This record gives sequence, structure tokens and C-alpha cells, in this order.
Amino acid sequence: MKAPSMLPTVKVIGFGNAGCAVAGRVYQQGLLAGAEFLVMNTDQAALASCPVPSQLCVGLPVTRGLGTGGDIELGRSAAERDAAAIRASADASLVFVLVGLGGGSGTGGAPVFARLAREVGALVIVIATTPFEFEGGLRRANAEAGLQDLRAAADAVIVLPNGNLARLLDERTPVTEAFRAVGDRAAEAVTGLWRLLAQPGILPVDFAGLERLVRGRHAESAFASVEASGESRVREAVSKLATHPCLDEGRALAQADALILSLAGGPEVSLAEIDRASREVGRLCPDNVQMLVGTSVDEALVGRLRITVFPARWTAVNVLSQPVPNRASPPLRVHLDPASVQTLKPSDLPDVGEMESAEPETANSNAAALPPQARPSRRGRKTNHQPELNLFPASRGRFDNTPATIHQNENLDEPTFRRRNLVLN
Amino acid sequence: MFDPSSVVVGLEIGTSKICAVVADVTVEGTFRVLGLGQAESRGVRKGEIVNSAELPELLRHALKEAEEMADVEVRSVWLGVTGGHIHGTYNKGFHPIASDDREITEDDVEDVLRMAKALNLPAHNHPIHLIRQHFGIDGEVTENPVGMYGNRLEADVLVLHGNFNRLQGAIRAVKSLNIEVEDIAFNGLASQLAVLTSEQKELGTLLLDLGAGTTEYVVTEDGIVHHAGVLTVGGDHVSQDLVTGLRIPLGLAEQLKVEYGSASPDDHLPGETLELPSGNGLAARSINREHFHRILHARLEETLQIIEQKLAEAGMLGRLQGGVVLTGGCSQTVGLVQLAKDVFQLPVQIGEIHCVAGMNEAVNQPEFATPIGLAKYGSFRVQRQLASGGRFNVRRALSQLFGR
Ligand SMILES: Nc1nc2c(ncn2[C@@H]2O[C@H](COP(=O)(O)OP(=O)(O)OP(=O)(O)O)[C@@H](O)[C@H]2O)c(=O)[nH]1
Ligand SMILES: Nc1ncnc2c1ncn2[C@@H]1O[C@H](COP(=O)(O)OP(=O)(O)OP(=O)(O)O)[C@@H](O)[C@H]1O
Ligand SMILES: [Mg+2]
Ligand SMILES: [Mg+2]
Repeated sequence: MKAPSMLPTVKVIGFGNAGCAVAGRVYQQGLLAGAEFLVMNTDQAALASCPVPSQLCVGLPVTRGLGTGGDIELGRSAAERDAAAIRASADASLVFVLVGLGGGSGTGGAPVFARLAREVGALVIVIATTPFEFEGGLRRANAEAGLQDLRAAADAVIVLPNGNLARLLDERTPVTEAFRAVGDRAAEAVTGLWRLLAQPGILPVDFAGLERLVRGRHAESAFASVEASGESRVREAVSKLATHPCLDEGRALAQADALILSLAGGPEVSLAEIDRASREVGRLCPDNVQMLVGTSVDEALVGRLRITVFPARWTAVNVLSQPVPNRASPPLRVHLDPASVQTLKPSDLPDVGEMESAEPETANSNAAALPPQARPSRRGRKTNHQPELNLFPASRGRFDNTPATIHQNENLDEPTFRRRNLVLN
Repeated sequence: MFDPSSVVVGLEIGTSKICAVVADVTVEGTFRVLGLGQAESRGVRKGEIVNSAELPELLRHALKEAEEMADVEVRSVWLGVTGGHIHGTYNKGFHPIASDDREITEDDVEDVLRMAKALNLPAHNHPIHLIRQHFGIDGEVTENPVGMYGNRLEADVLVLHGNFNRLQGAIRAVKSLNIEVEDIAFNGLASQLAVLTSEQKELGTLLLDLGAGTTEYVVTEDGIVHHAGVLTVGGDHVSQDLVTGLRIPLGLAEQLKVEYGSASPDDHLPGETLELPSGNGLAARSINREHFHRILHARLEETLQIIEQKLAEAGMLGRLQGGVVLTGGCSQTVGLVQLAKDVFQLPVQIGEIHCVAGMNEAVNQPEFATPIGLAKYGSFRVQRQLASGGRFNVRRALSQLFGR
């Protein structure tokens, strides 16, 4: 049993050519100390060139190790043929699945993996890229279908549209460079989440907090990370976020149901600065956004402030994929292997009260009626409250749900008299 | 009765109000407003739809009111669009003159414009207007190149474009009522059509449409729009600042702003207060008028300064011989004309809505500049199409936005 206060067991899975390439990159960077890596593909040659030692070539009898040639159905059936091996490999509290949507192996296989991993109790977060415009309609249609499956199968999907990234790249960037940038960003997203969980911080986020936020929510999230230095670094970083192409020029924040926010700075960073940064980012979000904030000091960031955000929306969920009230009763859609149910331990029962409501009061009153092992842990709730800082943003009033109006690093939605320091007394 | 084909309808889904204007063009060629309908807007912020739940109801209401007043049935509209996603980009087209004598023909002009339009817009962006700026022959600027001689023809265009999904969102809202959208047009361009005289358009004039959620700015010179944009700051910001600064509810802030507001910081006596009556269980309160005016002045001055700065950066300030014309609901703020004179150092006036026969008095209100301009834009487009002999059909051009 994995105690919620300890670092959870984490696996990073790369699926399909692109997923394997990104997993290989993260693996070689060596930043995720303690995480286990595994790559899966239908393409044996691609696996052979991947530096990750644990490999699984799925669906060998149907693909003969030659890839799927963009066939999602084939990708799906290849993965399903190796369901048992996949289940065994997904034995972790948290699984990150890396995939480039658009082909057949990853697009068809990753949702199968996500579903199986969730069935055996892992919290599944998928990091998926979607194709560039120039890749054509078929790949984009593939990706759209795959994304739908992933939304239903995973707890959260972090979607990284290559098209958004294209806006940050020079027009003349060669294709191979562009894919490298795409891979870098996917790697950055995983590393960013990892850091949030693993790095001892002023205000740490633990696995339980993350789990409470996304478990069963079928969240869909964007991702961006910005850095700024100098005197007005908070303002500069916040305005970069508010206009970030990867956040749809701030709309992803303005419409977020939940926000995972990670603030990191050099040793000189002050609590007041962190507080201000988290408030200002909060102000870009709706009033009722659920925030999960982690802050840490990083020697390597001396003089700089880094803000990483994952603004998420709960996607429309059908009845069949509502928050799983009990991991022993799996979603109805899955092809369930009865053996997998047996692998669950009673202590894996989730905190029902907390999952159904974000209100701590409600969680408490529910908890009283629950068996002891299902009672929310004290520690977990504290993280959710984060009483050290007032993280609930000031009301945005009329501008709730809108992207902030940013002009030269100033948020014009904030009252002018305040920004000009006019005294009213 | 009128020829139904000459009836056009302009529709603005504004941040504070939804407004439909039914108009036609008389045999003598006079543009005439026949009916106007309104509904208080909901779910629109900063000029964009953020929640469309109540929109169908409100749109229906506004359209019905306009229909009843004009006594016509509305089947299609010219829809206004605005929002922070709308931007202008300049582009250049080149075309080598192939004929032996190097004389430039109509075909060459068409080719060079086609080149200029083939602009590499960011993915997900859709062109709204392609506005011809001027031509050049071997580097020399010219107005009309046909019949002139040269080796290389150039054309400059201003492309106004916006986010595909958001444009489509507005169109969908209208189409869900089974009303066709003839075409979309940028609100700023529409207001400019409604408000500027032809002399102002020649001289070089800045039009500012100060709405509730957005402020549009458009520079017209020599009859051509040279620069346009949107700042997503408007009357809502003014009111919201009052909410924060005076700690009063939004409704009251809005009311005080309209009734007592002024753009001048000194429009009060020392120590003067605004007395709020008690009622609805609220205690009587007095508001310090000096604070009230300072809050308003700071916001309005800043908004104008930001636009002044943007135009300076675009090199537009030197071109404004015709000064500045204000329209939109916020242009009614007492003292705003003076404040704008101070900021721009140019003559400033509030725009009159022109060429409106019929219900002149009632519709000559700055809030209506956009929907009236949209109807006017529609009638120009219909006339141009009819003049060129074609049956009127622009919807085809929009099929990309309408698809799916
Ligand atoms: N990061 C990264 N992304 C890539 C690369 N190559 C392709 N992609 C993206 O990933 C998507 C899926 O391609 P692959 O991963 O090659 O496809 P696959 O899942 O292996 O599927 P099949 O080869 O069709 O069986 C493409 O549409 C691209 O957007 C790469 O080298 N790096
Ligand atoms: N007399 C007045 N003084 C000051 N402000 C006013 C006055 N009358 C109206 N307003 C303001 O004008 C705004 C409405 O203007 P308008 O109708 O042009 O905007 P809109 O078209 O609804 O919005 P937008 O074009 O920004 O989407 C509101 O903010 C309102 O408070
Ligand atoms: Mg492959
Ligand atoms: Mg308006």
C-alpha cells in the first residue's frame, strides 16, 4: 500500500513512435529520480532505437512489429491483445502516459492503456500532442478520435496542440526541429508535474492533493511554463501567461475549473512574492477555480521566477465514466478481466467524501459515515486548504470567465486608480 | 411596399445590449432606417460570447421588435464581430508585368491583389476584411495603376482577421434561430461607416467606439481604412473600478456612472458627497464625490492614453487632420470630449449618425452606431453586387465559417 504522504510510485509510459521518442528524452535527462520508464509500440525498429530499457512490443501477431501505418483500429486491437501485460505494467499509484496523437499505435493504444491502468487503480495522466496543420486531415481526424477516447479513459489529459507551438516557432523551422520542440514541450510538462510532486517546497503538493483534484474528473488541461527575472518579474511572468499562445492567449486560464500552479524561484525568492504571483495568476481565472499550488526554491533558478500552469476543465462526462465511487466497481464500458478486480486491495478505496465535493465541510460530514480507511487524511486536507497563503483570488466581477486584458505587462482589468496608486481616503 | 431585396438588417451582439436595425435604400439611393429592436445582453463579455444559454431568447426579442417596427420579416442579418482576438496585419503582393509593352492591365491588378490576399495567417485565424491600401509600380506609390507602365506591380492590403472558432461561435448563435448570416463585419468598421462624413474620411480621422466591453479604433484617410483594432476595455471597466473603489454593487455603480459620472477629475465641490437613499434594507450612505470622479477620470484617461500610444506606435497620429470622432455608449460621458482633446491634442467631437432618413431623431444615439453601420455595410455590399450584374450571394464566401 502506498501511503499518501510518501512519494507515490510513478511510471512513465511512452506509447507509439512519438511517445517512445519523448519518453526516451525524459529518461535520458534523468530528472525523474525514482520513476520507472516503459515504452510500448507496435513498431519493433522504433523500439530498438529507443534508450528506455523496458520495452513491450504490443500486438506482434497482428502488426508483425511493423507499426500500424496510421490505423487506429489496428493500434487498439494490438494493445488489447496484450492487455494482461499492460495491466501488470501499470502497477503504480501514478502513471504518466506520453503519446503523439495522429498515428495508429499511440492513438489507438494509449486509451486502452489508460483504461486498463485506471482499472488496476493507478491515477492516469496522459500528455498528448495533437498534429500540426501541415500533417493533413487524416492525422487530425485520428487525433480527434483518440482524444475523445482518452478523455473518457484517463483521469486527466494534458493536451499540447502542436499548432499552438507552431506560433512560437520561426516559420522556416525545419520539420525535424519542430518535432523536437514538440517533444521538448511534452517532456517539460511531465517534468513540471513531477517537480511539483517530488521537490521539497515551501508549499509542497502531495500526491493525495493531486489525486483529489483530478481523480475521475476526466480533466482536460493545457500547459505552459514561463520565466522572468528582474525587479518586475512577477508582473512580467503573469502577463506572459495571460497572452501565452499555448493557453489560447489566456482563455485556458479564464475558463479553468481547476488550476495546478507551480511557482519556483531562486534562493532569493520571498514568500510575499510567491503570494503575489499566485494571487495574480488566480485573478486570471474564474472566481470559483480550484487551485492546487506548489512552490519551491531551486538553486539553479537564481534571480529568476518560473511559473508553470496546468489550467484544467472538467470535460462533459457521461454516466458511465462518472468519478469512480469505488475502484472495485470498474466503469461499465471496459472489457473487464475478472482477475483484475482481485488485484485490488481494500485499502485502495478512495476517499469518497472528498471526491464528490470540493467543499471541505461536506467532505467532513461524509467522512463521519465512512469506514475508517476511507476517511480523508488530515494531511491531505491541509494541503487542500493551504492556510499559509490566501490563495483565493479577489473577485474578477464582470470579467469572470474572460481572458485578462493585458497591455505592456499590466492587467487592465485591475482598477486604474489602484495601479496608479491613487489614494482614496 | 419595398422591394424586399433592398431590405438589410444589421445585428450587433454587444456586451451591454443586443441591437438589430432594419434598413433599406430608397430609389433615390437614400439609406433609411425602418426599424430598431433591442434587448439587454447577457453572457457577453469584452465583446465576445462567453455563455450562450440565454442568447437565443434575447436575439429573438431584439429581432422581433425590429421586425414589428419595420413591418418586415427578418430572414438574414449582417452580423457585427469584435473582441480581443481581432487584429490587423499588413501584407504586400507582387506581380511582374509580363506584356511586351509593360502596360498594366485590369488583369494585372487582379493578380497582384490575389497575391496580397494570399497571406499566411496563423492557424485558426480567419480573414474578416481585406482592405486595399495602395499600389506601387517599381517602388513608386500610385492610386490607380491601370494604363500605366512598369516592370513590377505591388499592392498593399490591410487584413483584419479573427479567431475562427470565436467568429463561428457568434455565427452559430444567430443561425440557431434559423436566421441566415449574410456576412460578418468588424464593429469598428461599421461604426465608422455610420458616423464619419465623407470629408472626415478623406482628411484622416480617428473613430473611437467606446462600448461596454470593448473600444474599437479605426483610422480612415483618403477614404481608405488604414488602421484598425480593438482594446478590450470599456464602460464595464469604469463601473467595475467604482465597485472596487467605492465598495458598491455593480448595478449601483452603473447607475451612478450614467447619472452623475464625468470624465473630469474636478467636476465637484470640495467635500461634496453623493447621498444614497436607504432602501431594500441597505443603510443610507454617502459617497465622496472626489473619489468617485478620480476613479472615473483615471480609467477614462488611461484608456484614451493607451489608444493614443498604440496609434503613435503605428505612425498614425500625424495623419489625423480630421481629428477624433467619438461614438458608442461611453462617448456620452460628460467631459469626455475635453479629456480626449487633452490626450490626443486634436479636435474631438461626438459623431452624428449620418444619412439616416426616416426615424432620424430616435436612432441618432451613439450606442446605435454599430448596428446602423452594419446595415449600411450590408446595403453597400448588396448594391455593389447588383451593380456588377450578379445575383446577390456572398454566403458562398462564408461557407468556410458556416461549414460544420
Ligand atoms: N514529439 C514527436 N512527435 C512526433 C514525431 N513524429 C511524429 N510525431 C507526432 O506524433 C503523431 C503520431 O505519430 P507516430 O507516433 O509516429 O504514430 P504511431 O503512434 O507510432 O502510429 P503508427 O506509426 O501509425 O502505427 C504525429 O501525427 C505527429 O504529430 C517525433 O519524432 N517527435
Ligand atoms: N450617459 C452615459 N454616460 C456614461 N456611460 C454611458 C452612458 N450611457 C451609456 N453608457 C455606457 O455605455 C456602455 C454601452 O455602450 P454600447 O451600447 O455602445 O456598448 P455595447 O455595444 O453593448 O458593447 P460592446 O460594443 O463593447 O460590445 C455601457 O458601459 C454604459 O454604461
Ligand atoms: Mg509508428
Ligand atoms: Mg458596441
